[in-house]
Amino acid sequence: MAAEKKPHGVLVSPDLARISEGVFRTSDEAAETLTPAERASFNEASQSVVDARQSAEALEGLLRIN
Amino acid sequence: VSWVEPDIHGSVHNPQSNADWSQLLGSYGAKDGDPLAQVFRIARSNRARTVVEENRYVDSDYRSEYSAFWSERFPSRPAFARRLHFFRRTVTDERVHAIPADAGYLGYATLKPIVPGRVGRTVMAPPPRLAKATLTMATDRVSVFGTPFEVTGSPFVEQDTEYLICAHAATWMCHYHAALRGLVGRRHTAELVRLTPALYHERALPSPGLRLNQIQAVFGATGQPALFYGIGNLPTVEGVDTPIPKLDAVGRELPAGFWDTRLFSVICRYLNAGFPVMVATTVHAFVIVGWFREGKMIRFVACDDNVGPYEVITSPFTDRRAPWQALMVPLPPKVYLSGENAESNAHMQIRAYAGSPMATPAWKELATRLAGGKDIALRTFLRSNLAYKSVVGQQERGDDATRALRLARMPHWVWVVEAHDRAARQAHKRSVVAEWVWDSTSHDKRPGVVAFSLPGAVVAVPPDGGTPVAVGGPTGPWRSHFDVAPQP
Repeated sequence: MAAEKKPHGVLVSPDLARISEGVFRTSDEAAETLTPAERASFNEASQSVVDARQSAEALEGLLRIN
Repeated sequence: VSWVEPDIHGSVHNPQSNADWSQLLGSYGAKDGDPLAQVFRIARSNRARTVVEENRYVDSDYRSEYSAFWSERFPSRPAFARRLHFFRRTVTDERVHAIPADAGYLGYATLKPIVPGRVGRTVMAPPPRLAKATLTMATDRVSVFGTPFEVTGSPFVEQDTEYLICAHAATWMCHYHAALRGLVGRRHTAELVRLTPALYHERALPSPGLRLNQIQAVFGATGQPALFYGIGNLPTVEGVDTPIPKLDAVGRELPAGFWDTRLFSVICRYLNAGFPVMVATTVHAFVIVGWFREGKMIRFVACDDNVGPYEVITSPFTDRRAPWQALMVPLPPKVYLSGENAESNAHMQIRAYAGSPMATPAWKELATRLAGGKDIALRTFLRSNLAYKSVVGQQERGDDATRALRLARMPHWVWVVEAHDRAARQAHKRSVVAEWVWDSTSHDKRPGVVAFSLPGAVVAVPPDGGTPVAVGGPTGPWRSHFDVAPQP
């Protein structure tokens, strides 16, 4: 494959065809290529977004904005 | 002179000295420290020479408040407002019916016949100090005695403490900005008050203050349900440092509003997207409308109804309103994906592709630099696909890439994550080395990619299991969206 490439990293048709076929359709699919540590870090970040959505309850009733 | 003069159209002021401006300020019952004084400071920083005052101005926002509240009070109260227009050039009363188009229009401030609450609907051009700031602005069009002008700025209104309180003022500032951008239909100030649900045991008027769920109800009813962030529980994002909590003298953890640096990136993602962010403390609300760098520090720009437009906040942690408690970001209703997960997933996918069998040396190098945390910075923002595709054609990414991205099937709003070479960006060179485009209607747990670009390749990913299309892309950095179109 390397022999088919043009200079300076320009990709040619066979490279692009492989990329088209190798697209990750889901985050889980992409995460499979990561190390366990990387995957754990990513999962923690994803979960923190979900957790953050629930933090309104803690503030409800606390704030009176005027 | 009464507030509503039947025999005059208005007046023209040409203040020159500090004393002239103070006298004008005092003539409206305002003093230094009042929001109107801040409006004057903004106008003067833009070298205003003329203030054209409209008498008997029918301001639909004030009229809505008058009908709903002030007309019901025992003391008499005019139904009319006044409006001040600021110009950089000298305009005389003799020519006020034919003001030249190049008179240097700097914006307007509506004045209401009530104190507190003098300053009504206001849009002023930002001061020169903010020329390089990222600001959430919109363009308003006005007629000054028949001559059309327009101003681009961040809307402002002052609360009156009885009917329109700070929470209403803050929601209105976000709402009017969205209305000017054409994202929602315009609602008058009294409609926002009327849309506030009575969820508690208190009477609605005079307003005892709003709770967060009441504010959310107003945002929702006006077509912009708000994303909510408790500052005590901000999300973690790949590549963004998780701060260490700060403790008080006896070792107790201080509220996160005194130390959680993640709020910078959370707020800036939405400001970069062109959406203002409402900040709530335990007793007050105001709106962050921009940010800029000063040395290594990030400064926020706020519209606080108690202060005036374009207040510069040196640090959220030492701000007199600290600790900030919550953020609310009114967004188009179908933006379900958060900016945080768009950014985390882009980070993860760049590293994942570098570990895939098809990875090129350039991809591997990019992933290594990204993981290092210093060379590559991710910049995340929301764009309509129309704005995104318009800019794509100006980024000099090559015809194949432009075609692939412009023909890609995209939802109306997309999250865009640009990976920047920091050194190139600081040197004001082309700096984008990768880009991920996300379907904003997808769920945080399952973000849907629409397109992505890595060195040498651009890939459009159709919806519904369609076949991805990869084409050749630039091997070196390309221009950022922010270089092409700073305002979305």
